[in-house]
Amino acid sequence: MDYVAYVLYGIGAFFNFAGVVGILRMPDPYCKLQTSTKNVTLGCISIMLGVFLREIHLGLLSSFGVKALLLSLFMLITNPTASHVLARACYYAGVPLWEKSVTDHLKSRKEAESDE
Amino acid sequence: MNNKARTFVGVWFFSMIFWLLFTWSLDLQEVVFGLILTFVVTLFTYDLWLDTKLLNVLNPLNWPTIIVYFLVLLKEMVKANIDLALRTLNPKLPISPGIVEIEADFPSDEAYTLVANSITLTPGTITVDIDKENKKMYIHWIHVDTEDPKKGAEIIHGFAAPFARRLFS
Repeated sequence: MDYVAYVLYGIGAFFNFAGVVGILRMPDPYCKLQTSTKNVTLGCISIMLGVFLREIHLGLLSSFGVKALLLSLFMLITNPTASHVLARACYYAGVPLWEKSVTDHLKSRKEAESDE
Repeated sequence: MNNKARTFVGVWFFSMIFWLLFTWSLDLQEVVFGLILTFVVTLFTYDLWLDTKLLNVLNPLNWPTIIVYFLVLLKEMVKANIDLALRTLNPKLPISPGIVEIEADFPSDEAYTLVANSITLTPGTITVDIDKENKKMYIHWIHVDTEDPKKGAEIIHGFAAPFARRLFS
């Protein structure tokens, strides 16, 4: 079980690393949010799962494992919500999209709202 | 029982489950203190849960749906992450981002929330805004495949929509 846990730690570390690289490389805040939310969520969940598996041989009554699972559940709920709020706030505060962006369907709606 | 009392008991029960999971002990002191604490918390927060369908998750009939949903979500997340990590680490940075409009017709606020969160966790998409009157969602997509609202909807939230409709309608 320990080795499975190590593999999960490795996967988690890799995805967290990819998330950080994404934050540095992506051209605009929206793309940065993409990498930071998704990769970091899965990275953390993978690490939590690793913790759970390492603790499981002590018996389910060793409180650590279940707490790790609960934490990953909360992360699953709060992380996307936070990034959604950030993206929306960015957009309505007028942060421009990257100049090579393909489309922007939300633009007409935003303009209609600011006219009112 | 009227609606208020039912919500109150439901929320109390829900927070007590979390208390037990977090303390992970059935010691009498812990349980009694937990009952008191969750009662106080429920007293202040239960009105947020009135007229919502969030307590549907307590219904055992819905549990298989929830479990299947989590498995599907996990699969989609792994797919999304590998895709995105490859894009990030690729020296050419193969992205063509944009905000697209997709159709979204769901029965309740909770269903919208569930779908929006699932969208944010899956391949290259973040929910930016929701227009409930016109039943539209605005999605930031890191690699725009299609600009057609219907096709986009199928690709982006096709996997989560049936679960949302079943759980929160």
